[in-house]
Amino acid sequence: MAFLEVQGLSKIYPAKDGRPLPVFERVDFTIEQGEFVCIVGHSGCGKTTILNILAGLDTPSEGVVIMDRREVTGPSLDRGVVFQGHALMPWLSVMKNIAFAVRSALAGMGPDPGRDALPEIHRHGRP
Amino acid sequence: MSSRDFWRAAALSLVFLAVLLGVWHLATLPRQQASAANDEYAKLMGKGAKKTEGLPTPAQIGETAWKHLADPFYDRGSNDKGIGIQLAVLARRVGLGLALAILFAVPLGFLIGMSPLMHARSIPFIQVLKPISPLAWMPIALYTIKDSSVSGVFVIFICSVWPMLINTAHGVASVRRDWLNVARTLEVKPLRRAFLVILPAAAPTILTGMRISMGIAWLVIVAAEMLVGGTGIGYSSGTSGTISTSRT
Repeated sequence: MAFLEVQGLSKIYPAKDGRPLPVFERVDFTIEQGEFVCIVGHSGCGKTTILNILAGLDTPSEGVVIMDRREVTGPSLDRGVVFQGHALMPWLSVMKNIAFAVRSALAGMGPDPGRDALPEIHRHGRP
Repeated sequence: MSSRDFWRAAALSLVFLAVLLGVWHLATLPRQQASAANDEYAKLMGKGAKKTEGLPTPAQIGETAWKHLADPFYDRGSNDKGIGIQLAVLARRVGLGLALAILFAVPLGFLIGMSPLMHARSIPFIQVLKPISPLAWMPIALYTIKDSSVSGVFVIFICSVWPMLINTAHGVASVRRDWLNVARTLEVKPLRRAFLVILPAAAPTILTGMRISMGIAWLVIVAAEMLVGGTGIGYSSGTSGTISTSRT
């Protein structure tokens, strides 16, 4: 069984007249661990939708995504996402943006989970 | 702005002020054609020649204003207090009403903005209640609360709650999807997401709501005080108006 398996994935929106309007239907592919994959297509063909479904941010109309023998049902720290628009929070400094992510990722691991990781980032981040 | 522009602007403002005072003064000059019969009548009524009529002159206003400002903190009974005390009462009422409105509207607006269901269900109620004149709440408040001071605070609360509620809900509902998606992929806990992502993102809109509310509150409190009585600038100017009208 492949590391990541996409089976019969479809995304169908209802059109204005009520008829179903499919973006893509019955997409199947597999990705092995360490494999580098590009999805290429014209604008509006569903590349971002597939990525969002893989990330767990969107739900497919039909089909399943299985990663590491578990079905993807929602967003998780197992799968990182780099968004199309930059999604940094403008009210935080760059350092604090990173700290926010590190602290969130390591939440539930002691009182200040970022304490050990953040100095490391500081060391690498400074010129 | 350079300092020369500053002085020019200041000079222009002073010219405007002088023109305004001049027009006011000319418009309220005492009329000369008072007939002998009228004078006799005035004497008969026990009134001196210093009979006031219509709009007071700038000099009179200045004189009265100086009298009040020179001694702002005197207290001679419930109907005669210095202007400082009146202003303090006014500010306390507005502050209390606004604080209560913030405590109520911001958390509720947060809930409404977070949940599309709550949004769809509660917005019609808000839209119906919002346009009710704050002063129309006054009789209800006076009847149920039976305390004029609390009623004043309640009216401030009710008029300032709507802009805050709507702005908070709108601000929370329109946080950029990307930031929420970032929080979701990082598995941020709901409370942490509310305070570290949604609150800062919605803060400008929430503050705008507060500023609108504050403006409305200052407008409404004077009118409300004229109705509820007690102390405060509105009450004081209302009674002064009534007394002057009945004197002439």
